[in-house]
Amino acid sequence: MTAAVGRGALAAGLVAALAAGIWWAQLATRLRRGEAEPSRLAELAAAATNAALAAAAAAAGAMEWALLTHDFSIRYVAENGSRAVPTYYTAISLWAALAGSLLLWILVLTAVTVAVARTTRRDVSALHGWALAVLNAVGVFFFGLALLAGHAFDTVSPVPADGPGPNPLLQDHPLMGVHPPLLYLGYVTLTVPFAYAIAALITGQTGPVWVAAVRRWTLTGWAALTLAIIMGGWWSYEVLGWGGYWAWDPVENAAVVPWFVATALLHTMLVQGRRATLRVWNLSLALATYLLVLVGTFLTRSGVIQSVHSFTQSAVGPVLLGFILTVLVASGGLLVWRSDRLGVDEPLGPRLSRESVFLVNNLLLVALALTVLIGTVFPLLAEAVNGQRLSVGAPYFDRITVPIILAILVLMGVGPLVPWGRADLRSLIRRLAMPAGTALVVGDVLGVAGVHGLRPLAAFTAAVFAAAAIVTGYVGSVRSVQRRQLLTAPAAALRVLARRRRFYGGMLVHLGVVLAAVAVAASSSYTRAAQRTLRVGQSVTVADYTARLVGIDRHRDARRMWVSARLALSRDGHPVGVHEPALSFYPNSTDAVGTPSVRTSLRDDAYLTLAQTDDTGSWAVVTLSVHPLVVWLWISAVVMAAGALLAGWPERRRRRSDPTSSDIAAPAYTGAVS
Amino acid sequence: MTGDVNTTVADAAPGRPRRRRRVWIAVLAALAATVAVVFSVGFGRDPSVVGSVLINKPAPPLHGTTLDGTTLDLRSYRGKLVLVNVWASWCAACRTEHPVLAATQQTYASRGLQIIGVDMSDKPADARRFLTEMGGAAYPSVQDPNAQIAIGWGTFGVPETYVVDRRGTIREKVVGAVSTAWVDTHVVPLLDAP
Repeated sequence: MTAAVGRGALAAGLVAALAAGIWWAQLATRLRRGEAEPSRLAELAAAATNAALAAAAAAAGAMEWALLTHDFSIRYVAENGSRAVPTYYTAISLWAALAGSLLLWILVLTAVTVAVARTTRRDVSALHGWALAVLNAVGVFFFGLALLAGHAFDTVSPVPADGPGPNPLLQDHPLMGVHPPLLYLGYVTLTVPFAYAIAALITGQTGPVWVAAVRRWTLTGWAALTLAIIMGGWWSYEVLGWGGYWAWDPVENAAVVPWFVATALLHTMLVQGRRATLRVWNLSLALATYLLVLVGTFLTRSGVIQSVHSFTQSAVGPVLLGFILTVLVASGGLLVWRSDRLGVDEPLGPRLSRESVFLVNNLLLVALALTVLIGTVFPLLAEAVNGQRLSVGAPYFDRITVPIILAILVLMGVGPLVPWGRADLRSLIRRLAMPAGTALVVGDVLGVAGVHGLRPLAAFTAAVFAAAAIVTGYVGSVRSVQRRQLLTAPAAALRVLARRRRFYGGMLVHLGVVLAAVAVAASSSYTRAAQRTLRVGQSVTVADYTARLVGIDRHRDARRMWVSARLALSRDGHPVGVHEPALSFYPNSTDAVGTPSVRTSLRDDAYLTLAQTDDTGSWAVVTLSVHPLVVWLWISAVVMAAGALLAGWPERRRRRSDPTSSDIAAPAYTGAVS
Repeated sequence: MTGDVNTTVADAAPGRPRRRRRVWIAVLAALAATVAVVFSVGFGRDPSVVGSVLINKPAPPLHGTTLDGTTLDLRSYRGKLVLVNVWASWCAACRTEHPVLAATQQTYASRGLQIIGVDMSDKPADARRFLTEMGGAAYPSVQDPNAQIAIGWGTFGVPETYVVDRRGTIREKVVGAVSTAWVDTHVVPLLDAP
């Protein structure tokens, strides 16, 4: 029954998305020809778009129902469900494997499509029509994929009485409930800039309306992706027990490559918002971002690259590859065919200006994306060329990306202080003197204080420079507002923030990046660790922390068996609590799953893992590692997301005008907002 | 608002844009071809195939102390059709399949079938309690507290069942609980095979 509902919903969704796509395209063609808006067609198209969302919700709901009621007649439930798994993990098993996560993907995609249709409802133009047609076409593909290759609702006979449960790693931490949906939200939302880029190529419209439509969605997708990437790192840190959060794993790379390109797009889009320039470049970035999202999905879902995250082999791979090629050829072809109809770009010129700094930033970000992409797919390339299987490891990525990231950090400090149009070099140097001086002093002090290592010192110095530049710029603006408008300092401080909300949203994001850079540099350079075989009563000491083994406990429930080591942790001799890192053995996995126990503080984390115990419970192999400043990486994600929210929050609605276009179009003409 | 004010620019200087366009088309085609070739390399690589490398290979060693305290060696069962069932008392699915296995042992023992359990990562006391709850042991189970035997057999988890034919060759492996229907279709025909 549930299987029939699920399959029926997917089929209905396919039909609805197809109809919606065709109707939106028809509407767009008519609007383009200058015909008055055919309201019936618009209503039909909107209704079909809503129907696709309803169908996607029904399909995901059917699967969720099957999971929660332990309906093991459905193959997905038989493979990923288990009566012994707690309800929370059963509910989130929807994204524990490929077929279910495809349903979540479709749900997010159709929801985003409906949101786009709603924001453009009052002012449908050919541009919006085409974008919605493209979004629905993408929807058709994913509905088809779920229906024909996903096999989510296949039935099994005879019906098993119980299932193995999801992969043990996926039932061990509550973050599993948050990280994948955020990642999908990020990935899927980046379909919107892609759809608008295609629409722009079809209609030739790349003006403020295009920028307005794309900016908010890119920002949303970017913010979700940022949170997802860092939360993924956090999850890995809390669950995998190796003490790290980033390993240049293909799946991590797959998420971070589109993130780099989307970041580049967010910056040059600001340029296009004020001047008719970089249009083809921005379109290419929007198209590339989505292609890279698809490539990332492909790499992780097709089983071609081995990784912790890879789902098992399925028929999805070749179909996804076909879709990637279609999108690549269609969007590349459109770009080649239509780009010269977009109009001539205003030349940027060799002058020093905010625009030219953005262009350099873009080149660096794209270089970063390419470096990581090549490193990720190089094993496949090598295999295609000479059949060798090899892997590209962290040393390659670290060596190449660190210098580029440092350059981006420095540029992040310079950029906001460079005015639009044309900068006066002498006044720029004057403005940069304070941040540069501060950074050098802090760098020297850290060096003298015994902080060693060229790379982390360079990272700290660059980070201080970027942060000091933001503060300098803000203080300068506050002072000038205070003088000109005769306000008190706090009032002026608020006035500046309110008047340039989007700019300071961006600056908040920059501060988040600074925090992340400091946290990554410190935790990757100054982590200290020791592994000891401890008998009960013995202890291990790293930095200020000492962990003493108090006892070893064995537990068992229907779901798993686990051993934990009770460790009394103290810092500088003061007890700070008892921690119990554990090793779990699940029935569906022979590998023991380690559960680290972490004591987090703003200064450093003490990270305890249990590697091994003996059967009699008299000794345990325990690792204690101390990771400085790592908590600031998680905080940075929140700061960046808050900055994006501040920058992307809609302006208060003005009467009788479309909020999305007025919001962006106004500054583009008046130049009032940075 | 519209960006296509300058639509005529492309027509103004037809020569160079056209050549440039051809270059871009070539670049695009090359990119698409590279993507197609590179990304299709890994197709057909199936991570789950690893689990079945033992199929049609001689069974790995299986000997040790049973839960009753006697010793058992798989080699002494040559000539019988053996089902090796890896289980544990803490495994929910094992509880489900146990009656099926016990019934199979009783029904087909006379025709040369023998089930051997491997009690993986378990405490003997817990395992014995499990068997008592299930109505007593219908067949012997070897203790495998550190999963040594299970690792040798390439076991992913519990329960898993291997079919070892009369010549000592692994014929099939099942992950998860087995059913009566599976026994009827996959095991019974092998009983009549030489």
